[in-house]
Amino acid sequence: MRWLPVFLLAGCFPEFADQPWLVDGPQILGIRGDPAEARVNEQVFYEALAVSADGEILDAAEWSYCVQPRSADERTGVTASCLEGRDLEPISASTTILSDACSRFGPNPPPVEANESPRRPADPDPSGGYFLPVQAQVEGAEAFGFQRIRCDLAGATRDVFDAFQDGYTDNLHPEIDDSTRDLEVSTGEVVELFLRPTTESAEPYVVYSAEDSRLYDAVEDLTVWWYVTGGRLSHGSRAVTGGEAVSTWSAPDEPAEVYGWMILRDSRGGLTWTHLAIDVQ
Amino acid sequence: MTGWIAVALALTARAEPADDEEPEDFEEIVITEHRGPEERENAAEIVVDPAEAARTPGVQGDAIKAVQTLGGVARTAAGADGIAIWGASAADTRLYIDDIPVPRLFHLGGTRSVVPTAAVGSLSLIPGGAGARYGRGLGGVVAVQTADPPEKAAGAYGSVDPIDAGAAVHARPSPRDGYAMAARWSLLRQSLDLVAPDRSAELVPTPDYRDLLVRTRHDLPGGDQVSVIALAVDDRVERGVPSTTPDDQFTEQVRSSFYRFGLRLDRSESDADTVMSAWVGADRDQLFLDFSDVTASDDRGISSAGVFLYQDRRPNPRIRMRAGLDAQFRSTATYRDGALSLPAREGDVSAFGQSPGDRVNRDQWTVRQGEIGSFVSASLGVGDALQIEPGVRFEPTVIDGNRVLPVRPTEPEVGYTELAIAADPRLRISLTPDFRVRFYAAGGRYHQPPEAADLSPIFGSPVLSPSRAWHALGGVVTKPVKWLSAEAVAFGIQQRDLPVRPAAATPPIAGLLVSRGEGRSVGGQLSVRATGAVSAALSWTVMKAERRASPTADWRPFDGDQTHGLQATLGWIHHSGLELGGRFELATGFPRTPVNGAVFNTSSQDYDPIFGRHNGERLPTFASLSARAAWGHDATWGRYKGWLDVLNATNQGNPEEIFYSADYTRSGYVTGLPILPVLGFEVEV
Repeated sequence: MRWLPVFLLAGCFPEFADQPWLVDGPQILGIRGDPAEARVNEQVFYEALAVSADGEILDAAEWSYCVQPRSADERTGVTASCLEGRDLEPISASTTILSDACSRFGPNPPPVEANESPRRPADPDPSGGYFLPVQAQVEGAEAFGFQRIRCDLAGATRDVFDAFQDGYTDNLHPEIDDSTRDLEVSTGEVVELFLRPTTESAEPYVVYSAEDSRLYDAVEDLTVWWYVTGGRLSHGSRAVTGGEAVSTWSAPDEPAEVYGWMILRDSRGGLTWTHLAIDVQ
Repeated sequence: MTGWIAVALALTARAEPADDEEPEDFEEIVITEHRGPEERENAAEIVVDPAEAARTPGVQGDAIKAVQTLGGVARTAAGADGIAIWGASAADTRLYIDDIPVPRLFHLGGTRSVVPTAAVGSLSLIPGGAGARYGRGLGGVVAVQTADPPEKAAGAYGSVDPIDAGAAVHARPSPRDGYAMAARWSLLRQSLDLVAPDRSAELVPTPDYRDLLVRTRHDLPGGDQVSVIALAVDDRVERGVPSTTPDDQFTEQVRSSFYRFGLRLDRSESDADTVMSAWVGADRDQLFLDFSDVTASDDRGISSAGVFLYQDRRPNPRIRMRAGLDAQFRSTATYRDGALSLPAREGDVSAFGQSPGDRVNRDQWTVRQGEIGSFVSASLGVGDALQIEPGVRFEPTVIDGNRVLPVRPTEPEVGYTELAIAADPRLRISLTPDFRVRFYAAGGRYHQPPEAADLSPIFGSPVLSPSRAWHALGGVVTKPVKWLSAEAVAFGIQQRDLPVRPAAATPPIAGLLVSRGEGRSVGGQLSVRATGAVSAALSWTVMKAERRASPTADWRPFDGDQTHGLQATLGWIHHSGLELGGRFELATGFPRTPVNGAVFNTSSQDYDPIFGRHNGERLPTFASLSARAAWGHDATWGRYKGWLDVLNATNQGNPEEIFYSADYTRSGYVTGLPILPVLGFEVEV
């Protein structure tokens, strides 16, 4: 028998130029609370990186907590009602963590009526964390951020509970050691945009596994996202490897003042950012 | 029997033999001419001739794949391998090979069936209203019987096309013993490597598969036949679903295998047919999904065994009794780690390629299920025209699991044992006022035990009830002349206690699934078929299938709902060995949930879609034309055949999914397979 030719091709995807890294209108790129991880009733201060297409930094005008947890099949960061503007509780930028945050969004059992069966607590993210959704709004843009909340272990043995209390350190926002600064480039020029976090940014921590009742050691992963008001990026995001993350940016074909932002996030939800301006001549 | 004209000419010429003469063998010539529609054990059953099925354009010579072209079977999306019938989920369809249940009839990705065409003896589809013999499924039944080893003393068969290569051998060392073995291995990856080596971002998965079928038959002196079947199926699929940027791709790796070994005894007597079989099986399914920020893995091993006893007895011409025992045991051990929302379920609202979310969990659970089904039915002739066949299937089911609650180190592990007893009545009525026309009606209740995969206290619920359904159908089939038949059938199906996600955001512990879902489907189906040198077939199904999450929730379209499905086939066979054929397929697009907006998520640095009405829109209508040309020749040493099968001959860009830009402001369609010519060659010696 001999080989026979085949003309087999895959299905086709729509061809539209998707540029998620392009800031072409008011957009909130980052939201973070200080401290990065807080207990219930603890004071926290929220700030947002809200930008416009001409590089202006905007002030977040309104803040809210989303108070409704997600159902199991919801893949979004917050439940549908909060995305649609419901189940939001207005707050100020300086506020406290909800007193029932660990039972709404954490490992503590949700409250039940007298004869109801115990309810399922929230499930953690891969880092073992639980988050309180925070909404920020500026004129023409809104976004949700996620405040990591420190809840005590539920259902663990005393030994594991004590070990977790001793071994777990609250998350800190990552810090930037160095990054691409303001540039002057020619039209069409290709440059690398880099970001180097401090070595302390990738913090060690422990994760509790209920299935085998153990604590596992882990180290944060760091990821960088780039946003620009013009030109073209090879990658909108990259994991930090070898101490830095790099994306390639191609300058536009016309002279312009281009603004850019770099967001650094750790896998426990800590966030920091920086900006750059590029003069394309 | 009406509908059959049987003329028996017994040329006995049987003069009394002289004392010293051996009695002469008498010669009997029986001439039968089939004029009316055939009597069926199951009211709406469609029996397909494998050779004819293999000639269906668009199935690339795969007889079992032709099931997907039959009326009532929903069009399968590109890359899907299930068989969804009359508004039921594909998982609700029961699949059998030689009465042994199998998890799937197709290799992953749906490119080929798991049984080579040469090994298929018969193929039947029961879209609904199955008799008491069948249970454990809310949907239809697809039953494959493997072919006996050929009568020839020895032979071999080989085939090759861009999808796979196959080889088979068979031998008959004595007239009473026959052995056959067939094996196939996929070539699709290698074919694609030749024509599209840089296909790192494909929608259509590239499967690697192998299958092996061994079948023996031994005729015992008393007329009984003992057969052995061994089936091994192994699949691997890697799929990378791309995005329009290099940042958001995800990959899926699946490995799935199953093995079956069965021993069967068939006894055929003048007034009864008996089947006794026993089988054992092993399944292994592994799934790994990587969405960069979150992963999911599922590893499941199943050990199973079963016994099937069946007797079809005809004590007198007006009574026919069917009774049997159908026992199965399964032990399923599952380990799952990862996103709560995976694997996706019917009714989940998501956009194509959307990340599964950031919530994860882990569980390891074991479930043992034992089902002892016994069934009996009696077909009673009332006058010459009316037949009534009441039946019942009685099936106690025991489910034993190792965890009723999520494991906690501060609490002991508590298992559970549940007993559910189902007694499902069935009824079939047929009225034959004229041998050319038969009216029929059938109905019954059906139960389906919960899937072991759903019984996790973390990802599902260990206390799910068996799902149940009522089927009712009525139709008429006519065969006015030998070469023409037509059939119209209307059906209604109601489903209860379907496992669904709970509406509450914080459901009870170990209650991430609840048995509160409901389904209904209603529709009609028209089929016309003409046979001969020129053959034609037309089937048109009109249907509406809906689901709701609880008895008080609103109905919504079923994820797999197709309101219209049309298949038209035309074929021509010339005595020179030339075969030409064409098939046109038209189907309503699948429902999808529209995206009305999106909000930025600064944690994932991605947009979260705001969905509109659940399944509130549809993909555009699917239309495809397939063509087939073949030429075969019988030589002195054997037979050879070459064929060209062209799927989507008009290169129609059929939308298969809606693909959104990262911010959900733009959308487009992911289109299915373009024109796909496949050239194959078969040789038999």
